[in-house]
Amino acid sequence: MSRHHTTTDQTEPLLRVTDLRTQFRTDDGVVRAVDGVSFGLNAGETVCLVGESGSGKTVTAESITRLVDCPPGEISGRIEFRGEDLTAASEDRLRSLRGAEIAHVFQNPQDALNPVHTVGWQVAEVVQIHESVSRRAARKRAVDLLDRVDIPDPAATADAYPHELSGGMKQRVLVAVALAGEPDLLIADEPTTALDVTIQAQILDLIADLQAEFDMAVLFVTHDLGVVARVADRVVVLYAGKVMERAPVDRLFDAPAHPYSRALLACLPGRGESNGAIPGNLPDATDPPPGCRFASRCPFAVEDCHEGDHPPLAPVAEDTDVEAGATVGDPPAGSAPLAASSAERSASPDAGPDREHVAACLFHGEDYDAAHLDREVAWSAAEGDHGE
Amino acid sequence: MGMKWYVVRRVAWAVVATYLAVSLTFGLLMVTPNAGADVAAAQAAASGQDYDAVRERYLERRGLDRPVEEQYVDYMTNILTLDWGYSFSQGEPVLAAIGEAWVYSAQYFVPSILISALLGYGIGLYSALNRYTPTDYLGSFVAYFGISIPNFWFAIVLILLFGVVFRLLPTFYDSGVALLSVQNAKQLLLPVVVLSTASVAGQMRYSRAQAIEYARSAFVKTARAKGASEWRVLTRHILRVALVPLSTILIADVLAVLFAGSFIIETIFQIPGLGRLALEAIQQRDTPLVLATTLIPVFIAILGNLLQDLAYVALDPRIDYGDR
Repeated sequence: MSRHHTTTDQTEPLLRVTDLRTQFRTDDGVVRAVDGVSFGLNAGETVCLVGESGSGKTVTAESITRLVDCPPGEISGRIEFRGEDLTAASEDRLRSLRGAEIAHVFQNPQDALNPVHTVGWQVAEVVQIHESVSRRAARKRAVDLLDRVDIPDPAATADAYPHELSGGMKQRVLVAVALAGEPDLLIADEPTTALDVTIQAQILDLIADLQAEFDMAVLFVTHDLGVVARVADRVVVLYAGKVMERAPVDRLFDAPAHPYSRALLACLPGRGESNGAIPGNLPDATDPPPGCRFASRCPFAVEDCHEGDHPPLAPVAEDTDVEAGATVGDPPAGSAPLAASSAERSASPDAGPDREHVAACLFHGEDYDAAHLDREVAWSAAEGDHGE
Repeated sequence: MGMKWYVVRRVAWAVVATYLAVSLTFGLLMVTPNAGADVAAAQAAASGQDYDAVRERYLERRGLDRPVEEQYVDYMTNILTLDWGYSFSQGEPVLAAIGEAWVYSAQYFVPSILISALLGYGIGLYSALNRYTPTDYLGSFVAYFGISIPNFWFAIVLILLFGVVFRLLPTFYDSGVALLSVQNAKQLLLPVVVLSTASVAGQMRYSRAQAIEYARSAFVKTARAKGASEWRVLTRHILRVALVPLSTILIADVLAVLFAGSFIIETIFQIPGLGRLALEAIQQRDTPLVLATTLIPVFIAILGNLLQDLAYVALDPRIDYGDR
């Protein structure tokens, strides 16, 4: 995908989400699924929302066009799409945007198509909703779109029902549905998670091709860091409804700043010595403990981490060379394994919102030294110290 | 396996089911004491004749003393050739009595089914999409009221209110009124309301539950993400899928109303329909008429199930013809 994509207009992003809060009133209390999330997305760019299950990434993605059920959901904050605040937009206005300018692809293609309509009908439906065209013209467009997403024999497949297609084919149909309105923003919520690995790669390539062809921005929701490395320009790491870190993708992989990001990266096979899981569980979303949301699972947490509000996003110092899974106690800055990447970074100017790198961790704030995070800590210790 | 083969097999099964139902009825007839013979014999005994001899003669005259298999062939032939016997309680052939009665039943029955389906589905879907709002609670209240309230009591209260207190509607059904007249519509109003109340409630609860299930589904989210209006989501996506299970319930509901509702409604409102005919036949032990009024709902049930199986084919493309 268009990594290091540069847009001419840096001042006005296509989508700017500011302090987004999505809550659900339930019998057990108010679930704060998304609790003050901010990020931006430029035209033609790919931003990944990353986090484990329950981190709020899907709710964030579905809050943008208010696809979350409201009520019980309540959305506040600002969601500016081309400068227009969608949280204040009428349902009619949102309907005219959905499918036409902001399209969605969802996680599980098995359930995302209506079982009793042909796939051609379901692609054509988008065209019919947003344009006043004849049924025949809409169908022709549907067949063209099915062809564009590389479905063999598109005219015959248009008459097939979803249960007659494989999972990968269904996801291609859903990509065609998303493309039908020629959107400027595609919100892809784990579009490859339910597919097997070879199909995953095909779908990712397809989305990348179409992104370039249609000059779409893509908001890509995933928990899979392999996918992130493949598609993202920039990354937003979410945990328990909060942004933990925002970084250009190369910075996230080379120099993850937040302990949570490091823990996620350490779970990647071949990186670090982690056994593939972060000990502990997400905090209670109805009544989160004070302080940093990740504190109870963080091996670096100090007393201050358990007090007050979640730490604000602080800029990550460029010269702090850190690496996930650093094996030796306290590597001096610019040590051998990092030499190349830090040289590359210092050569580039690294200015502008595209290169923004911030983390919500006390140690990146003014009162602490981020180098503290580089000391070696056994992950299992976290549970014992702050578990209950 | 193609669709044609599926349809052929469904129809064949309906024929087999009909045959079994008719044969079973014959079996029941065989083991039931013959009411006519007993009455005739008792009367003869009262006037000094021999009870058993008269009874024998009665059975002999009607061919009921022959071997079972002969009677069975005879009985099946009669059913098939629509020679369903003579009803002594009505003083005319059974089929003629039924031919006169069904018109009266259909007059309140068809509107009730249409109203309960339309209103029930409508309220149910609306409630599903507006859950936990005052209108949803009102809908649920109406539904539970309809389910809880006994038909016969509700009918009598309505007659008292609208017929006796306010004098807006007639208190009983007058079969002398022309079919297409305001007066006929007025006298059918209460039966239709009473029958619909119970039926609407059932349809409403089922369609609400079905719609809630599908309203949460991923394909509905896809439809909303396309920019589809709520109405479009409701009709083209939710209702269209929900129709498959709902059609089953509708058939079951129609039969329940036919079997149970018509007896009560027709007795209270004095409608000379099939329910009253069946009731009179049973009370007067008019065996040929009891037989006919039992077989007709059975035939309707079989036909309804056949139509429902065929409707599945049109409604749900996932049905595998090979397995059914």
